[in-house]
Amino acid sequence: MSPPDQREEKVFEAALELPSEQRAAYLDKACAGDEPLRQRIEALLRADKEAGTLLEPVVTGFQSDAPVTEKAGDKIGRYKLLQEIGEGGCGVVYMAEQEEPVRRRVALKVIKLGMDTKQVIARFEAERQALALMDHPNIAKVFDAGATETGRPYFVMELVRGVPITEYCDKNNLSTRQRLELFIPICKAIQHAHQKGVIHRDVKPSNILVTLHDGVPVPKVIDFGIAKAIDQPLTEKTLFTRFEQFMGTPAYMSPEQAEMSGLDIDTRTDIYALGVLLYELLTGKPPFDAQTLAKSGLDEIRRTIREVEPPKPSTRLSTLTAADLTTVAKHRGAEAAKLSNLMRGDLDWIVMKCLEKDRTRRYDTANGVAMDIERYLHNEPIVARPPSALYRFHKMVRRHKLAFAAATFVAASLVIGLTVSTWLFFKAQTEKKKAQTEAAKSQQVARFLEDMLTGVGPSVAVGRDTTMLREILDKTVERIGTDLKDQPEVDIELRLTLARVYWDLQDYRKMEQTARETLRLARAHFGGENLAAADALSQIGRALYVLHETDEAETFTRQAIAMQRKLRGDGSLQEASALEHLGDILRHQHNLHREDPTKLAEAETACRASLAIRRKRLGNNSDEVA
Amino acid sequence: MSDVTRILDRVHEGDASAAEELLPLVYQELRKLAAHKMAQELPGQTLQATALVHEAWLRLIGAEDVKWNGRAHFFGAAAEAMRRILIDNARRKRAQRHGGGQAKLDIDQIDVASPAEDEQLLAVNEALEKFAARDQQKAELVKLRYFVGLTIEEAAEVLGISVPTANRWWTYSRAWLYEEIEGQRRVH
Repeated sequence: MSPPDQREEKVFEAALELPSEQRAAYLDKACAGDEPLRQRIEALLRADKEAGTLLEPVVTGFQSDAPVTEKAGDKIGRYKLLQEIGEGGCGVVYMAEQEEPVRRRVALKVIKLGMDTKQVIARFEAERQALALMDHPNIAKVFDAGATETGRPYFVMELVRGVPITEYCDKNNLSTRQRLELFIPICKAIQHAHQKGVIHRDVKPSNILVTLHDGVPVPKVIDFGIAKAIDQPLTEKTLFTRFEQFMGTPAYMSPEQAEMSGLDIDTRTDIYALGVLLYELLTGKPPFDAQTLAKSGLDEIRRTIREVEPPKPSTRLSTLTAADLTTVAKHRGAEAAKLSNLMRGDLDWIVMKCLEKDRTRRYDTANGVAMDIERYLHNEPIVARPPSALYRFHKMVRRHKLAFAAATFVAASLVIGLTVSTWLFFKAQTEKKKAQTEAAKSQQVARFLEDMLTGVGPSVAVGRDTTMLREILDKTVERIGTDLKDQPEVDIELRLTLARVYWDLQDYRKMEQTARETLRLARAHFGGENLAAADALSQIGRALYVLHETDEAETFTRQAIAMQRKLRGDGSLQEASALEHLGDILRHQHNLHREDPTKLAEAETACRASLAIRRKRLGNNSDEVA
Repeated sequence: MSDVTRILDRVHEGDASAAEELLPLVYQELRKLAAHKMAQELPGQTLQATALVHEAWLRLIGAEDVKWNGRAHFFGAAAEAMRRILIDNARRKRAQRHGGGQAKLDIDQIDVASPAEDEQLLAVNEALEKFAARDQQKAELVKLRYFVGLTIEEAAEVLGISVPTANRWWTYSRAWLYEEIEGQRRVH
C-alpha cells in the first residue's frame, strides 16, 4: 500500500469519528496544503453517506428458473394426469389414465432432475426389449417412456395400489416368519429380472409395494429399468444429480455403486440391496442409519458404505434401547427378549452374506438368497456361513487400506516393517538405551508379520480360501527386490520366511523359485557358504522332492547337509532335519528305481543319523524324536 | 481425508502452491451445488450464497479435522470462486441482451436475480479489482461480505482480525468502492 493511501484512510477514519459539523475544521488542519487529499476525503465521506444501501445489501443470491411442474388434469402424451400419488427422490408419480390402445389406469412418473432427456429415453429404449420380456406376478410392468412438453423424461408403469413393504409389515405386525415369507417372492422377482438381463439398481422399500389380492399380501417390485435409464455417465455435472439420487437412499446403495465409477454394476448390486431390505425388515432399520448418512459429507458416505462393517442384525437388536426394542418387537408380534436370539446365527449370516463389501462373497443369485431363507424356515442347514478368522483378518487389512490395493499395502508394510526393525536394531546397538523401547516396538512389528505369515498353515489345513493371501505373498516377493535393495540381510531373511509360507500354501514351484533366489542372494552377499544359503538349499530340496524331481532334490539336500556340518559342526538339529528329509528322498528313489537296495540302505543311514542327533540334542522323550 | 482437507493441511504447513489448487476444487463444487440447487428449487426462490458456501464446506470437508486457519483459506477460495461464477453469469447475460441472443444459457442456469443487479455486480467487481491492487486485505474482506454474504463478525474471524478493525475496514472500503463506481458513472 502506498503511503498516500494510508494517510487518506487515516484522515477519513478520523473525520468520520467526528460529528459532521466539526469535520470541516479538522480537514482544514489535517489536509493543510494538500487540496487533492481534502477533495478526496470529502468525496469519500459523501460516498460513505450514500453507499449504505447501495453496496451492503447486495449479498447475492441465485434464482431458479426451473419450469413449472405438471398438475392433475394436464395431459402428457396420451396420458391424462388424474392425481399425484407420490413424490420420490427423483420424480413425482401421478395416477394417470390411458385411453388408447387400451383404456386403463397407469402410474406415470415424471423425473424432476434436469437431465439429458434424450439420453434417458435412449437408454430406456435400449432396455425396453428386455423389460418387455419380464413377466412376473411380483414385478410391476413398465409400459412406456417419453418426454414432457417441458422436456423432462417420464415413465409409464403398471399402477400398483400398495404401500411400501416396510410400512405394510409394521402396520400389520407381521412376525419374523411372515416377513421372511413375504421377502422370498421379492427375491424370485429379482431373479426373474436378472434372468432376462435386467438389473434393478434401486431396490428399496419404496420400490417394493405390497397389495392385497383376495386378502393375500403380494409384494410388487416397481421402477424396473428406470434407475438405469436415468443413470448417467459420471461427469462433473452428473456427479450432482447422482449425488442427490444417492441422498434419497444412501442406505440402500451398494459399495460398488458408492464407488460411483458407474461402469461396474451387476446383478450382485441388487443382491446387496436385498440384504439391506432384509436387514430393515428384521430389525426395523437399515444397516447404516439413513439420517446419519445423509448428514455426513459425500466422502464420508462413500467411505461408510465401502468400508464400515455394519453390526449383525442380532447385534443391532441387542444394542437398541429398551423402548425401541419393544416397538420393534411389538411390530413383529414377538417378545423383546427373544427377538435378538431369533436372529443370531442363521439369519445373521444370510443377511451378512448379502451385505458383503466384496460382491464375490455375496450370494451369486437372488434365488440363492431365497433358497437359504427357505432352508432356514424349514430348519435345514443354510449355505451362508460365518466368515473365517483368516477372512476377517483380510477384511481388517482392507479396512486400513487407503489408496493402495490391499495386497500392495500389506506387502509394503511387511517390507517396511522389517526394514524399520533392522534399522532400529542397528540404532539400538549404537544408542542402546535411547532406542531400546523403539527396538522393542519394531520387534513386535516383526513378530506380528511372522505370526501373520506362519498362521497360514492351519488355514490351509482346514481348506480356507487363501487367494488373497497368495496375492499378498506374490506382491511381497515382487516388492522385496526393489524395496530392499540396500538391505540384503533383511531381503534374504524375508525370502526364507516367504518360501516357508509357500510350503504351507502348497505352492511348491513358487517355493522353489523363491528359495533359489535366496540362495543366489545369500551367496552373493555373504560369500559361498553361509547359514542362509544352507537353509535355502534345504528349501529347494524339499520343494523339488514334492515336485517329483527327486534326483535334483537329493543333490540340493546333500549340499545343505554338507554346509550345515561345515558351518555348525557335526550334529546340529538343522542337520538332523535335512538328514531326515534326505531319508525321505532316498526311500522315494528306492521305490522309483525298482527297489534299488543301495538307496534304501542310504535312506536308513540318513534316518538313523538324524535320529541320533535328535536323541542327543533333545533327549529321548521329545516329540521330535518320536 | 478429502482432497480439500489435504490441501488445507498443506497450506497450513506452508506449501504456497497448495493454496492455488484449492480454488478450482471449490469453484467446481460451488458451480455444481448452485446448478443442482437451481434444478430443485421452485421458480422465484432465491438461493443464498452463504448457504451455498457453507454447504460446499460440509461436502468438501465434512466433519474432518482442519487446522485452525483452514477455514480462512477455504472461505477465501470460496469468495473468489463465487465472484467468478457470478461475474461470468452476469457477463454472459449482458452479452445475450446485447444481441448475442443465440448464445444458449447453457451453464446450469445459474442466474443472478435481475439485470439491474447484474450491472451493479459487474461495476462492483471492476472497482474491486482496482481496490485489490491497492489493498489486498480489505478487498478480501469485501469479497467475503459481498460475494459470500458473511457478516462482519464472520469475516473478521476468517481473516483473523478484530471486529472493530473489520468494521473500520469495511466502512473505508465501501466508501472507496462507491466513490470509484460513481466516478466511473460520471465519466461515462
